[in-house]
Amino acid sequence: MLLFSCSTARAANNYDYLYTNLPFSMPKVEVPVFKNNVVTVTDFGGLGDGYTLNTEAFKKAISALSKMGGGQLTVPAGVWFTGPIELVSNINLHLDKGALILFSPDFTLYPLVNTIFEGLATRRCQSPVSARNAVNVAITGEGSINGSGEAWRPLKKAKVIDSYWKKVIKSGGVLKDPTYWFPTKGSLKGESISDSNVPRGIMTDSSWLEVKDFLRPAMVNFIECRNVMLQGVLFENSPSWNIHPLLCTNVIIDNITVRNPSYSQNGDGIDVESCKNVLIVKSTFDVGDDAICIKSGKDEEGRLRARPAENIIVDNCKVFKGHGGFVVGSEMSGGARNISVRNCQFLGTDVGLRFKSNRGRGGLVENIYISDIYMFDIATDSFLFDLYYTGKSASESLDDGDTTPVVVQTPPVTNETPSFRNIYVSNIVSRNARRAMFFPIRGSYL
Amino acid sequence: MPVELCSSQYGAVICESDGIKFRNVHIIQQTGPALTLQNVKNFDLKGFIYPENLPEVVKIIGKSQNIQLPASIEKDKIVGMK
Repeated sequence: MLLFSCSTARAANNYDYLYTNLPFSMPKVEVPVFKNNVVTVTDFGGLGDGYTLNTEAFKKAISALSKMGGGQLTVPAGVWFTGPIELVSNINLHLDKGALILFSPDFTLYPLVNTIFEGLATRRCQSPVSARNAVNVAITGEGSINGSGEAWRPLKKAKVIDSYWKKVIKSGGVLKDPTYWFPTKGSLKGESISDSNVPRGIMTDSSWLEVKDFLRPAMVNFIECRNVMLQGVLFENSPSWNIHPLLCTNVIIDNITVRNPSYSQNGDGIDVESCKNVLIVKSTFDVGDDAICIKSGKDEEGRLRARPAENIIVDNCKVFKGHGGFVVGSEMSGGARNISVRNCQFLGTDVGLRFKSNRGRGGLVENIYISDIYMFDIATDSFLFDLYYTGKSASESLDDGDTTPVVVQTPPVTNETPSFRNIYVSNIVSRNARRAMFFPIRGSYL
Repeated sequence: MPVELCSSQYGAVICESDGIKFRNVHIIQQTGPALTLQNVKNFDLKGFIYPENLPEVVKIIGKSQNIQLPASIEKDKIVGMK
């Protein structure tokens, strides 16, 4: 049944208070607006029984709604097993209370697509939820989305209890060494030819397919979109990063929950990459890697792309597990500027405020305003400024020790030198941290 | 309200930095100096609160230059100041 009532734009949303006393000027972020058309996935043959594959039902529903000029695609209570969902302009994917969209762990449903990951142009499997060059797209409601990440992610023995490790080993897959498990041979092969998760030197389509299983997608990926909103929904168990708005303008993240297991490799919460005009408010993160992370491309490619992350407000968010509560980097070569982080709690993260980069990145990070941050039980540093980042979490560096010799000669400043300036931090309270602050040089971990 | 960092095992360690200003920082660490500066230039600290009876409050090492510290810190508790 098609309904023609009930606007989903939530015109009552009012974010004006966020701009009060903002220490930089930015335009108000546009809230997406949708037509009043409403369709339900069941109208197109969908079945929320947890077994039926609903990929085609979602595709048909989105296509039909788009032809009507857009509106709300309702997902009722139920378990909606599906392959990837591709949103287009003017679609609000609305999950009713009790609705769970459960993505299939069948890798063959996720074709390789061109995208950017870890700041570099590459190929990855298609994201479970994606949109590209769309205007007015949203995921709203009170339901949840699960990416079946356990099927995709490699696993390090040290990060899990023994019984879980044995269960995973028993499920199949291959071991790189006695402590590092991969789901398939292709996944392991991909890792062996990759630098920071991006395969190098692959020249043919068939070679890409050989390592396809390694190319874990971000669960939600919006690329070059305008007027994006995520509101109310739980996002959990992603194959790699959880939410990745990339090169988008006007992004609102409001009252969502983002979860990944603490052992999830690259299980970031949200990576806002080269986006402009962004609000992240009233949201909770409990993840396996960085929680709220700002990025803008890596090294020369990021500098040439020259798309900074800018005009970003993070307000009233909570982070539980995570490598960093609020993070800039390490891929920040396109720059980052005009960012306000206020009224947040970091409760049990590895690091509270984490800035990370390295020689080669270049890029300018400036006008960062951080205030009223409350932290408790920070495993390493409340405030870490690591400009010799090597890809390890702070806890891993601490556990491993750092045997790298202390740098005795400072290289000359070039366009490959990352720059950080005008960073203002005030009203920070942290209790039970290992160390108050650490702005390290290589080899100086205490 | 100060920038307040309580109950950490170690204090703050700042290395290879230029032009950092700290205002109203309160550190309560359990081990070592409250603040260590290594190869730091043009550092300016005002309003610093730290645990009483520390043998070393600030430790300055490497090629640090132009370090401005509050007069309230007893000189014999600043190690390495040139």
